[in-house]
Amino acid sequence: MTSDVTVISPPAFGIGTRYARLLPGIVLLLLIGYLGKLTEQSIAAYGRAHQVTLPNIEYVLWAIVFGLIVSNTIGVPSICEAGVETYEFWLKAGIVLLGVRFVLGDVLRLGGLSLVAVVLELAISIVVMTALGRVFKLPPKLTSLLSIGASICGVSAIIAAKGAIDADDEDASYAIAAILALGAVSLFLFPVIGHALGMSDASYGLWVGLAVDNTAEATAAGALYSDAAGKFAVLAKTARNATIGFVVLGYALYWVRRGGAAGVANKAAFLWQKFPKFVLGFLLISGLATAGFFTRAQSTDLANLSRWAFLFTFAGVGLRTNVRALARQGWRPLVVGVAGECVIATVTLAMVLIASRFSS
Amino acid sequence: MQLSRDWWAVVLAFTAALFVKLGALPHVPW
Repeated sequence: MTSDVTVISPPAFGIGTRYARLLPGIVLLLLIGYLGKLTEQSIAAYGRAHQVTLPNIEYVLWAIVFGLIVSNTIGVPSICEAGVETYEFWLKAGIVLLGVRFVLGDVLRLGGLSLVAVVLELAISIVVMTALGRVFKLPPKLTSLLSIGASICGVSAIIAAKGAIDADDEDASYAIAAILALGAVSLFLFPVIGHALGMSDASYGLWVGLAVDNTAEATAAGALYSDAAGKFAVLAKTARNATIGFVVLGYALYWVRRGGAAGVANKAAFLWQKFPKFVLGFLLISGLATAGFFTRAQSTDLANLSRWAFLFTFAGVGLRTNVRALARQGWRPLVVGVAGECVIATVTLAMVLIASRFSS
Repeated sequence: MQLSRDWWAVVLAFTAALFVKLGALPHVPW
């Protein structure tokens, strides 16, 4: 979703041809996402008209499913590929706007709480993934990439780390495929487990934010449970994303010591370069909302805009998941990923359940 | 790329927020 290129200009979203090239894919994202929203509304309207109780399947799931159908049947047309890749951009814009729904004090309190859980989760993920990588004799750098992907924020963390530890393209694509496959599975599995355990929105959201690796999937898995759970998932995941620089730096220094990567000249600059800047925007909007800068109606408008932005994201999640391409990546990284993620999901679930017992 | 995309997302979100604040954007339905 992102690369570790440090050159700032030219901007990814300029004007003219660069922008025009993105349009077809953005239109496809909108079409698929909107079709998902229409489907949810149509089913609800049908149920009301015929007085039957139909399961309320959120637009989130429809958008992902329609995206999956397109990408795994006719495929994403090449003219749309560049635009479809913008789904992460919409996710970030949506998260910034979602800040309007948080009181800054809550963000700092819950974010701080999440960060404590994140630190534990990071330690567990790195230990589990490293051990599994050794057992299954994966290349050491692939193991590092899987650990980074599982501990922080999936694809962007892997891509950020790839440059920092001089990993092969092949290792990076293996690790990304494993993380994406697991993300797709967790979308369907996590809400079922959450409902089976009768988890509160806050507990479920925190669990998703800690255990689902990719931000888009974490946002979707949270929103599938409830709006409130989606908010908590975004907050926990954002806190987790904020640690990306530290973990990637740690791995970079580890590989420098082993002679497998070029040195890091300026650690502070490195941390700033890897820091997800949209987190700052999220905090700033939350601060403005807390200070009463927006009226209630304006806050609702901004929250709705955030939902529209997420609509593009969820369509993108389906559109860029190609089952055959994932299957081609081989089974060993996937086995390590599945085993590791099961352990991480179980441990983080236990952490969240214990924490909720103490806080209630 | 990461830097610029992140910043552009922030710029877009704040532009939208400014438009909403100034009343330049009509009510956003969902």
